[in-house]
Amino acid sequence: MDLQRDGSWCRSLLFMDPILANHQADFALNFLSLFLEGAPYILLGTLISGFIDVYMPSSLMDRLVPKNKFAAIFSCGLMGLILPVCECAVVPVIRRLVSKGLPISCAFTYMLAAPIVNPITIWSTWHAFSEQDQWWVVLSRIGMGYGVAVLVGIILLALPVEKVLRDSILKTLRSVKDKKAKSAEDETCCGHDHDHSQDHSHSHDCGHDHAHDHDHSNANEDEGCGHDHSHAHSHSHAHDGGNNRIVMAMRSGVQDAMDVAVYFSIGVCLTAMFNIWYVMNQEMMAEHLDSIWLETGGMMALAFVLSLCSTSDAFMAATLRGVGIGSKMAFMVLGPMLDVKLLFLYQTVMRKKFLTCLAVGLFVLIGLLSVAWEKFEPFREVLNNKASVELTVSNEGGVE
Amino acid sequence: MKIVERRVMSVVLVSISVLLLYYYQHDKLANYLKDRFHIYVLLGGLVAMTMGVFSFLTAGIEGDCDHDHGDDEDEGCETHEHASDMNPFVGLAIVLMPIFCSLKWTTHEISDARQDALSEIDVSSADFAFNQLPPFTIETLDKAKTKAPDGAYQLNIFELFFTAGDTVQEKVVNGLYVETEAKLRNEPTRNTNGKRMRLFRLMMNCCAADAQAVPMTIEFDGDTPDFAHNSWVRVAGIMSYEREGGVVYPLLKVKRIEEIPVPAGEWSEGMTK
Repeated sequence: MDLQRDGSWCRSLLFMDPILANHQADFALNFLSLFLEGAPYILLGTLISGFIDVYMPSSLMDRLVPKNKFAAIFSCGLMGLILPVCECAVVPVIRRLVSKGLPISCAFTYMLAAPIVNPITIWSTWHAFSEQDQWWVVLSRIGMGYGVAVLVGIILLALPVEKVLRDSILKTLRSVKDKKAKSAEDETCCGHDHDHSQDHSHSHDCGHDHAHDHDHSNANEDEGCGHDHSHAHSHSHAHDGGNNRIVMAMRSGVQDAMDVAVYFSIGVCLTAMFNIWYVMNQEMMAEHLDSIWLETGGMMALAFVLSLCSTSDAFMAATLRGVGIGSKMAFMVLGPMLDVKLLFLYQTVMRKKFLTCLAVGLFVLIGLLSVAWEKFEPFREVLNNKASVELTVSNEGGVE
Repeated sequence: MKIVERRVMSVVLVSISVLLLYYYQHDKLANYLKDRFHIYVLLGGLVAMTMGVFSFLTAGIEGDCDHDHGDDEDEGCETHEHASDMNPFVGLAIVLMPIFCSLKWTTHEISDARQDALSEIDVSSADFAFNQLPPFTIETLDKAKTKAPDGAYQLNIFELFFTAGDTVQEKVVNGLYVETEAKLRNEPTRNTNGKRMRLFRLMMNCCAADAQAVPMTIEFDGDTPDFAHNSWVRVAGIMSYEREGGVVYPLLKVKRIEEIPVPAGEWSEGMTK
């Protein structure tokens, strides 16, 4: 009642309160800066995903990924070294690759590892920590990021895909799988090889090649293996618009961009709001983070809230005051895998229940690993001895 | 999918591209993003514009993507347009509403309240993990730095701040007459005689959301001047250091101070360049 009487409640609602006016300006600055930083990567990612969708045949995934499931996961964890992407760009690409039939264990391993295990992030971490346990930090970050991503991939081997992927992705995936199965069935149903010795490639005036692989290796189809080999063809050959692959690629990219932009926008809004709260309360937070567990948890919460780009977060981590190396590691490993905007971006791929489990699991696992890592002194000493010798030589040279 | 829905999605892309391209040419982009990200804003804007305009113009063309869709007549190239969970009009509103609100509310600056919160924390150079000042002597300073007409070395606040804690560089700078430019506010800590104020500048690592303040205490012989809160000043004085609780803080004993307009390149590149 008092609030209503003095009008502050009303002013707050109408954004007339001076404090809220400040917060509005800060929200706008935060939102726009985060949006301007992340959107270009998402757009580039969706453009790539559109072209993957149209130009990459589903069968290519089978050929590219190692047959052994574990080898596939381990190799996908290192794919970021060849295809370096940050966490914003990787989500639309992964959506498309999963739809194309890339196993989710491989896709998620790549998705979680690539923002950390890539040359740009490695370089920035190296640069940021050039005066603070450089070797230890860089190797720890790569090792922990890769390890966690691979572990998640291995766990996903045991989970049915229906519990992981959301319905829209599942529908596309099923469609791809049905076609693959049908194609395989057609080729092997009668126990002998129906090699496509008579590929029918014919060109129309539309300027592109319509390759239809028909099996005519049996001279008499009806007498071959006793079942019907007749099948319909999918292309209508109606080409009033010329070569439309580019149209489909762009259209697919635009739809991906739309889906991802919605969740990205919501995520950035929340990040901008959390960021305001954090800055206003960081002194209080620093005072309360007085144990390694609380500090590590606090740093992971900070990484979650700030939603920094993985290519630059090491610079932020390096400047965080009075924070242990394990907590900084937690900040740099969790951040590229999970933050507010990613939580929303992941919803374009995953079911909410699975996403909740993944988020909690990552938080607990990375927290435990980081605390253990900080206490793992012997290996750290070995690495640092080498670095400190180099630094001493360098400093002495400078003084002289 | 309906042509209208395709066009709505194209509009979202074009809107995002307009935002990116508008900010790329805006002289305040440096207040939002660090320089190294600017080129991506341009690239993102061009990509979004190309995708959006192309899709808008080709929304009426039915697809034919020229690769295998199996042997099913019913499922051709339209499978590339998967079922979206979001109505395009709802999506349009969700994406554009915060953008419009932010464009309306933004002042391109961090608010005074946030600056106060950022600059209030009493940090020391030891709190920053990296200190990339190259080793220097008074001779190298003479060569590298310009001097004010009254002989003060012109150094930025980061260079002064990060000398604290480095015994070699402290020896070079201690007692030196220096000049620097920064924002001015009251000193919230270590100010028992009430004659101190605090200089600070903000630096960003990636974007404005991660801005941090680098502060330095200044001390006056007499009363503190009456400048507006967070005003930009040019200060000259004698550098010194004080130790408290094992922490070294830089301290500038003021000889002259004047208010100045907001300098070009208000945002410092900080120490991450």
